Amino acid sequence: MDFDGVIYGQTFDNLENAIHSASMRQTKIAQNIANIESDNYQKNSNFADVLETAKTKQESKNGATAVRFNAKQELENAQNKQTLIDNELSKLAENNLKITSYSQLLSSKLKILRKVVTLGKG
Amino acid sequence: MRGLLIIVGFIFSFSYSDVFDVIQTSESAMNVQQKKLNVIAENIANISSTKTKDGADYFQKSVIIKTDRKTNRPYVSSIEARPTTVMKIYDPTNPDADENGYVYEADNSLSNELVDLAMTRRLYDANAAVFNSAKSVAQTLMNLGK
Repeated sequence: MDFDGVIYGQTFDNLENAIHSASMRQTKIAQNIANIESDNYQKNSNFADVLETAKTKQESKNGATAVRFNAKQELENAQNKQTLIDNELSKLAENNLKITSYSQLLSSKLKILRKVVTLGKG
Repeated sequence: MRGLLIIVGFIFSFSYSDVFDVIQTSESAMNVQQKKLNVIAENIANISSTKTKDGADYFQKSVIIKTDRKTNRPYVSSIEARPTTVMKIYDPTNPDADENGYVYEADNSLSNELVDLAMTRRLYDANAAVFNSAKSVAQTLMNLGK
């Protein structure tokens, strides 16, 4: 019988992966904020952002929305720095909360394990 | 045994990649902002200078910031003279005046520098916030299982 599976289950692995990916995201956000003024920096973005950009490009290729797209792009560049900081900082706060909640889950899981190992005394 | 491995692997992955990376990234960004503040201070202090000490024309400076491709950290690649338009001011008592009594001064605006200053401060604050959040995350993770 697989005791490991009974005791640990999938939860530890899942939480570990979650914390790992969240802290990777934290690194990327830190880089985006740090390099906001660099000339040669390409922003790290996640899949959803890239998909949105590709969709907008595809629409502008069809011709009808091409002019509007350019105007939008210019506006975006002008407001870029100000809004980018705000966006990244809010993403950072969200990410922070996520990591905290993951680690609390992990803590409570460990508490349960300790309870079991010490036969209800720990 | 597997639990031990998980914990060891977790600690390894935690120390290997991320928190210190974040801290160093925001540290180098804060260094860059400090250098920028220096340059802004110079620009404001020299706002009505016409010549440098060795007689050459004085220009305001601007900072060129670039990203290190390997580590994704920003650094100051160069500090360059910023070309501006020239103002012609009638001031015959000035030793730098030409034969008609005109002095040529760079058309520097104080407001530009002040806007730059505000932006720089805001960026510095943002990087400090990132630093703090990385620190608190690290502390949360270190208290895991207590």
